[in-house]
Amino acid sequence: MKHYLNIYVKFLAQHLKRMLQYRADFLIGAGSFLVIQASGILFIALVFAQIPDLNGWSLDEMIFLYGYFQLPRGLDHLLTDNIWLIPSRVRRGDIDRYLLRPINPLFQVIVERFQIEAFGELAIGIILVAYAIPRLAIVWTPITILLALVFILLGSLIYTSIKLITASIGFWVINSMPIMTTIYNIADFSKYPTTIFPKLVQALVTYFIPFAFVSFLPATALMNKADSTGILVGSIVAVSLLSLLAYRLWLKGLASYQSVGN
Amino acid sequence: MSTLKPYWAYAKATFTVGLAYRLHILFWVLSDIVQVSVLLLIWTAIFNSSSASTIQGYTLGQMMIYNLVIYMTGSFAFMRPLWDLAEDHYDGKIAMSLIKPTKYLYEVFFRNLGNNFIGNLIISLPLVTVLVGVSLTMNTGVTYTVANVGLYVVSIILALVISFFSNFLFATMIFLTDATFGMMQLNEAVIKIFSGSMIPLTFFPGWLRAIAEILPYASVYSVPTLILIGRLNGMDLWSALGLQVAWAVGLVIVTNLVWNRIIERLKVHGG
Repeated sequence: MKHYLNIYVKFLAQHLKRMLQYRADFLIGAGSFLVIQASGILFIALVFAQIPDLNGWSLDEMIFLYGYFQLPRGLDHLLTDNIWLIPSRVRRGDIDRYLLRPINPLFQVIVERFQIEAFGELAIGIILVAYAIPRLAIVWTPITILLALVFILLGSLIYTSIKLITASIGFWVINSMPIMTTIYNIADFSKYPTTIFPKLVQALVTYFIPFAFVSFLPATALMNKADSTGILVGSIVAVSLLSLLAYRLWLKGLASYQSVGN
Repeated sequence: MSTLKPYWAYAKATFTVGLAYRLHILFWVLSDIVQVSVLLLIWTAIFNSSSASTIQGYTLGQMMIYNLVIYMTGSFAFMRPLWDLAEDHYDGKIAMSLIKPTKYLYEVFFRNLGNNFIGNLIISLPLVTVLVGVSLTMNTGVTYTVANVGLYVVSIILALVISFFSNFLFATMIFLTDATFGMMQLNEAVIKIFSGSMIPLTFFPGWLRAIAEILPYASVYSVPTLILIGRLNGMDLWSALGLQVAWAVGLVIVTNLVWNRIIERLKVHGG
């Protein structure tokens, strides 16, 4: 464990050096995420100029949800973005190098990149949440703060697991990138209160591809719109099942992997 | 036409490659379905929360039609040369293209056109089906006249040209930065905000709407869409088409000038 931590810190130092070296690239990358999220907020603001609330959700609550949505996403993006490259690595026969070294292959994949551009997502998330919190009647106790942080962590694990599952499919099909993108896009539903959608969609994002646990359900728990214990338990169950499935699928994929032999 | 002949080979090549990846196609369709569904469901929820039956001059049915048509329009006019440029720059292929008798700028145009045909083959059929379904069942009051359909086709061809050259011009910025993915995202975000594909431009406050309508992105998405659903008429229609022509001509000239300068620099420094 300590060995792994050591390696991680060494890699991190290199990534941060790179960030300082290519400052303009970092700013453009992070700035681009800011603009993208700005477009989402613009949409919500323009719509709320026309209606008083959306299915019982006020503008401030929507902004909180939208901001909160960015945090697990940004965290996952920051730390494990390299998983996106698994399908193309498999196709090119580039997985060999992970198998040769005496370190956990998944750890190697993840540590290879530290997606500094994700700071843009995290920044906008923090700004929006900070803007919304004083406008909402959330009672902040040490427990709610802890709960908020735990939910962010669990949410980002949901992202990582779903990403790893869809990436591992790449061991059996030529290119699983489109599958990854499609599933990843389903997360868009959880930028909005899931309850505004038909029951079928609600069931899909709660029980099958549980993006609702990433932001919508935690946000309702924090805003006292729902029972937080139930959501926490549900979230833990979802994360356990998903990450277990993801890791097993990844291992299975590795076992079936045959390099192109160069 | 004979001078175009070698270029069609590029379009044919990307088209054929696109067809070869059948699983891609399936998931492309799924991905589009997800995106369109999110949009339609959100608008339904928005109209359910509104006390009025029309918002900014749109009923729910009309808003659905607007979203479907603008999605279709975006797919018809889809041109994204940024990846080509970034990849060729990285591989050193731009320098190689200088020794070919074809011009790189138009090579990329036709490569994108081949991709565009693939995209249209995939998205248009399901989308048009949904569009017809919504039109028939929801009594939206949108009629498609022959004149509007004809002008839509003209407008789409102009949009295709504007789309390619505006995005190519944007893409030349990758020579200044290595943040390719960031640039791509930025390009998409600017398009999304100013094109009308996120929300009809009438929802914007006056000043923002004025800016958006002048920028080329509205000419790619909003203008053809509004023409087809009959919301651009009389003087407005002709001035919108005029602006499209101006953008198309202007962008072709400016992009050529900029590109030639970049090529000159490449020739001097190599690579």
